[in-house]
Amino acid sequence: MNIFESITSAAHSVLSNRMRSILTMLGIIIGISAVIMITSIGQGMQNTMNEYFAEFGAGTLIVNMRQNAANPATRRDMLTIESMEFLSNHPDVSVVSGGSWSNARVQLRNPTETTSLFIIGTDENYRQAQNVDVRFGRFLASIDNERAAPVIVIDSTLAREIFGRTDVVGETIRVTFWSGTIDFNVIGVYRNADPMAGMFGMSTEAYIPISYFQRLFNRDNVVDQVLVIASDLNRLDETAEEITRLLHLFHGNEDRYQVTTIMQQIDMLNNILFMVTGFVVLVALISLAVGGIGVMNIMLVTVTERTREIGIRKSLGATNGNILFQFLVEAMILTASGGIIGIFLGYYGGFVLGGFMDLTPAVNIPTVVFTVLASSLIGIISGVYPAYKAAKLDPIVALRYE
Amino acid sequence: MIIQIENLFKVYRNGSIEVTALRDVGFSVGIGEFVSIMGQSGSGKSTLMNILGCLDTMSGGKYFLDGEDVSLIHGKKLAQIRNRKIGFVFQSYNLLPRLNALQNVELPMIYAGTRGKKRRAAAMEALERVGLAERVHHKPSELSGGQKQRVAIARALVNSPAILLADEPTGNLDSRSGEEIMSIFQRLNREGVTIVMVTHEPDIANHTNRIVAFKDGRIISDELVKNPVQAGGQK
Ligand SMILES: Nc1ncnc2c1ncn2[C@@H]1O[C@H](COP(=O)(O)OP(=O)(O)OP(=O)(O)O)[C@@H](O)[C@H]1O
Ligand SMILES: [Mg+2]
Repeated sequence: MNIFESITSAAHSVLSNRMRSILTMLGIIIGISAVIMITSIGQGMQNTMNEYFAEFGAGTLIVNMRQNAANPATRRDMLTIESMEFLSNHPDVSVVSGGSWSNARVQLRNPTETTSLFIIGTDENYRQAQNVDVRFGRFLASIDNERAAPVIVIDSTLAREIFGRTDVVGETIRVTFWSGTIDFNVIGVYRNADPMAGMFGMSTEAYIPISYFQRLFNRDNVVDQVLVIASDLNRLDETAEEITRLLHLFHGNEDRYQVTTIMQQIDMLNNILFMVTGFVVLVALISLAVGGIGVMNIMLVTVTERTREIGIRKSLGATNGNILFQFLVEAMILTASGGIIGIFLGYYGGFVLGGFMDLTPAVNIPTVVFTVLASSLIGIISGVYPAYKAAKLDPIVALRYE
Repeated sequence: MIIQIENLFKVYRNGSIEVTALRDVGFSVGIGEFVSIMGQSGSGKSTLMNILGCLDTMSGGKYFLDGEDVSLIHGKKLAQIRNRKIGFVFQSYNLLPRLNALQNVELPMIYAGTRGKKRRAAAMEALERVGLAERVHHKPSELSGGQKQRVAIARALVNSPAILLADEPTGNLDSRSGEEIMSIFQRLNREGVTIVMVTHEPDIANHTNRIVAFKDGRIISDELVKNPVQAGGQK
């Protein structure tokens, strides 16, 4: 008996019991499609995020001040406009920017409605450091900081939410902080490229001059974070070390500042994403295993139902190997077809889900190969025991089975 | 001799209960013989046939099939003997319901490794020999009892076995269909096929050349039939 005959005969038997076969495959279909869908969405997210960060600037270093209860920061430790100026003189540094932030609410078209807004006080260099994509008007300029003017750059989504259109340069928006309510003049509208924007209920960012921010909150010249663009991309780590050293020198303290590269931040985000994806895939794999148990269960029922057939085949000269192979192939056809259907469903499901999430899912070949292997493996594992049971049936006992 | 058995015993054990189905049976069948086995219900006829067909094991004694000591053969080799040397016809036909007549007849050849056109042609020829050439694509459920039994005979013959064993082949059939089956058996026997057949009915047994009678697991008589009845009707 050759392999081709075994496969056609097994396919015949699977098809002759269509409804049962489909129900049996369901567990495998759900498991495989879930794995494909989740990994393609996860990969898609990672791709968009990496693209975004690559655009954002691989040469950007982020300077933060460390503080905790055991080691509280003093006024002297605070990062300031002066620390930024000090850094900007260093030859390894091409651009320095910095910012402070606060949550606020902005009034919508209907005066009784507001939405949350993340206000960042910063300077003209921020545009380059964070790669802000200004579509209408302009970004903050040095003159805005000199004058400490109440001007603001908002994102196009917010513009549409307030005014119903995106080109709103020259309009006024009313922003409420814990310290009071101020009318800002919109000087620019940017397009938000952050793939995570709007997700997880995050509010959009708006930029105002740092000098105005400091006056608003009585912050003197303090900034929460400093951004530095290194002049030499190949010496990022050295530059980060040098900046740390310089800041400690400038402030006369130690072990207070932390400089991270964008790459490190990407790695961190990728790790989180990987962990989340991995966890969900694990859950999907469990459902795949449950699907495998379903196949095994049905194969055991099949073997019992077809005991007489097994006896007849053996009386005609089928060897134990022939019978084993027959049932193994049947189990594998069940799981393999379930796997193939699952791959297609997962693939298109990924695109449907990606459509809702506004991202392009990326189906990677290793995952598909993995799921194909997994489903065949499940086929073998769940088929071996029932097939073995069938094969070792005694011909006369099987023939007498009612 | 195609079949030679000596001191054959078969004991069934069900827990502490022992049933001796065959006691010290000695018996042989030569090439070209047409033997019927008779006896009351429970006398051990089916037990003997299952052992002759290598479907069941014996508890003691010797069985030579075509010169080979069957008690020494196991596993794959034994499956090969069932496949090549034995054609078995059951009272209840034992056709696979999902396959049509042709596919049922092809089964033993699938396990023999005969392929494609050759297999198909041989199956067609076997069905022609039993007069079923026009019914090859019918499923068993679309055939009468007599027709089903003829498919089973074609299936038993298709690998040209050394012996055709039939356990009450006419047991489920009316007398006309039974007569048809006997006519086929007689023709096959004339063509050189050795046949051993179990039956309850003296009328059927009288179509064979020799009658072996069983009682309580023993042979009580073994006689030649002087003038076997010739089955008519069948072309
Ligand atoms: N699997 C078995 N387990 C226990 N006892 C059995 C088994 N098969 C047959 N027997 C016993 O062996 C004896 C012979 O049975 P067998 O089936 O050979 O009879 P038979 O001559 O074919 O009868 P019938 O004409 O009714 O078919 C009987 O007493 C029967 O009860
Ligand atoms: Mg019987």
